[in-house]
Amino acid sequence: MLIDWTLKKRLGLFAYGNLVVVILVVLTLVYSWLKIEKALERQDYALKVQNMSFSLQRTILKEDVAHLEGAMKWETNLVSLTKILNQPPELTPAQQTLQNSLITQNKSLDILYRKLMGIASKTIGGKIENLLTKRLLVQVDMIVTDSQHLAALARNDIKKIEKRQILIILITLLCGVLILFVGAHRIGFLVSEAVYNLKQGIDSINKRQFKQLPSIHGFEELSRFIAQFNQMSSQLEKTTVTRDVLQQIVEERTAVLKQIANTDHLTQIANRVALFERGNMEFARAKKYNHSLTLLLIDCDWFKKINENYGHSIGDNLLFQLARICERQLKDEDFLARYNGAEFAILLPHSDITGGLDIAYAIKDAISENALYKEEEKIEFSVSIGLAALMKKHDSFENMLADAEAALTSAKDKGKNCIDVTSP
Amino acid sequence: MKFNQHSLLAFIILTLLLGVLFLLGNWQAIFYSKTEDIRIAVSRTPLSAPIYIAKDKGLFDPRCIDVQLTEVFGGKASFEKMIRGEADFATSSESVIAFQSLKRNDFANIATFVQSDNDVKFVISKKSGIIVPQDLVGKKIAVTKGAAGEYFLSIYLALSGVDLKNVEVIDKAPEALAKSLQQGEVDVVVPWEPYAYETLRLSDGDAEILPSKNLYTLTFNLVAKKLNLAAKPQAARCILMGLKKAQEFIAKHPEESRQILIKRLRLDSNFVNWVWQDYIFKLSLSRSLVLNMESQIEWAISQGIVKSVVMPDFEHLIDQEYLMDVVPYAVTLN
Repeated sequence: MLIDWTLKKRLGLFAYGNLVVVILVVLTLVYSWLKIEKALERQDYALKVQNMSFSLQRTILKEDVAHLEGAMKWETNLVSLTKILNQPPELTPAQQTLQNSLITQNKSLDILYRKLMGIASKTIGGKIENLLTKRLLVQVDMIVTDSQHLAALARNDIKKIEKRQILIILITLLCGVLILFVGAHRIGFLVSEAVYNLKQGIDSINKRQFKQLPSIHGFEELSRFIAQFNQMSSQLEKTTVTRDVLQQIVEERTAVLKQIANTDHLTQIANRVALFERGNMEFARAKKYNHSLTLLLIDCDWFKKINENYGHSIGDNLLFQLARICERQLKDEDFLARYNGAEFAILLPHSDITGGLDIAYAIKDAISENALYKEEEKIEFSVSIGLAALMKKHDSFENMLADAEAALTSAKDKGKNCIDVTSP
Repeated sequence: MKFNQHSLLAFIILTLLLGVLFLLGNWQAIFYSKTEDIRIAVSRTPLSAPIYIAKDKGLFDPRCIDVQLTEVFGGKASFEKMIRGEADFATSSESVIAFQSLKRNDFANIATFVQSDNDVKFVISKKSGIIVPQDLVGKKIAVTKGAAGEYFLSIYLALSGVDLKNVEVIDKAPEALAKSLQQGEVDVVVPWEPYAYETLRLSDGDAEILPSKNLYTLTFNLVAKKLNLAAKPQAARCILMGLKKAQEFIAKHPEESRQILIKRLRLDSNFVNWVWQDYIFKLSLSRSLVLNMESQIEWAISQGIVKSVVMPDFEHLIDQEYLMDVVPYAVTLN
């Protein structure tokens, strides 16, 4: 389980962990030192016993312990040995066994010596005295052996303590190094991962990509930092307008403005400016690719009279309806514009004069089918249409337009509600 | 992931270290080629406590030896069983070893594991009129010849100023001593424990012990035929290792050790508590053992107890190699 600890807390724990390791090592050292002190005390005790028993051994071998000077030396040494044996240091169970043995041997020594003295005073005989002296020697040797054994146990204890201490220090150090290694690596890993993620995040922001960084567990400061970064990224995403978006907005706005500038406000179709722009473009394209192009000019007959009789709003409505009627007859590629007053122009790319005539008749038919009313009074109206198809003589759209105007004038001169075509 | 690789490395290092530590702790087991079936003829006495406790507590390493115990009455019987090939190891007092060394030299003592300065006792019949040691003159004394009792009897008499020739010594098996005193066949018996206690118990108040503590230190030793030792050297080491553990167990848990002994030998707890303080359980091979045996033979020759006039070479009857491997500081022969 990952816990979101702060870096401060982690470092603090590290410090405390190391302190605990150091305290443990110091405690074990103090403990070992005390143990070694005790073991040395036991060793000293064993050596004292050993020295005194050596003195007794020398006395037996060199002196006649049953008589005079030898007896005095023996007794002095025996008293000293008994005194040493009565003041043992604190012993381990195994050493206590040897201490019990030493006390028993010492007691045997005393009893055997008294027996020897008793026999010597009675002058019983050499054999038993000799035997007893040898028994004394054996008994002293047993004490020497036990004291050597005791000293060896003490030395062994010191070795064991030293070995144990080295092992404890090694294990403690090993654990400490492992903990430090894993801890330092973990912190390093978390920090480098966070720095890497932040770098990626900053690069993304530079590219106007507002990514959310993955959250980091186990490190509270970094978790908070990442969360704040993500919050900042979200905020930036909401508030920052990119260049592309701005361009798009400008283009959209420009397109809208352009549309407004090229649109006739009353009829909601292209205006005269747009007509010339599109007309020049279609003319140039038709000329370049040798396509056909036909221009229709439509004028509302008796428009001035309608305005006067029914009012300008009816006139305006008539023009609006006429624009809708014309629109319905056209394909997507055709272009309708208000040319002038009650005049409309239609550009028919890829259409020859026949196609233009078809459209002209269709418009006229549609007008006859869609009458205009004012308070249930039917308002009769008609249109005159002049057509001009692209010909070789035309060197500009204006030339073509002039021909269409001429055809329109001719249609009107023929009594209105007519269609006329420019002659080649 | 980088972190996982490092974690794996740390885990492998830790596992290797633990493995090395484990091997260091169990290195001996690597050298055990097989488990040896070992028969020990054990003298049925509290002196054999380390062997009973090692067996009871499973202190003989089962990877090395499978120990079967055969109980006998006394160290002499144990020794003879070993010599007959009915046991691989025997538990005998140094007196038995000393007297047997006059007859043969095909065995070796590999360790002393206990000593007592009060195991062999002088039990007298109250009806015999013996009050002081000097009253032993002309009395019938039953003892197990060729064992610790015989040697102890001779030095006790000497120390008391009584000539061995002035008493009648009768040879009896250790388990028969109590009965011979009870039935009035003899005036004195010289048994070791638990037969001394048994003699007092059977006498129903008609017997008592003459003070003899500290006059003689008896040891009990682990003995085997030299050929057998050469054939099963690892088994000898494993037995000594088990005895070392038993000796440590006794030092740390004396009460539990007494209980094991009481249960195993079906002994009276009062008896065990009575004798326990006289026993010193420790492994050793010391100069004093050689001196003691030499002293005993010398005395036996001088007293005419044995006919031989040649002192056996005891140092050749002690094999220190095995104890040296298990408890090196317990060997002080030189």
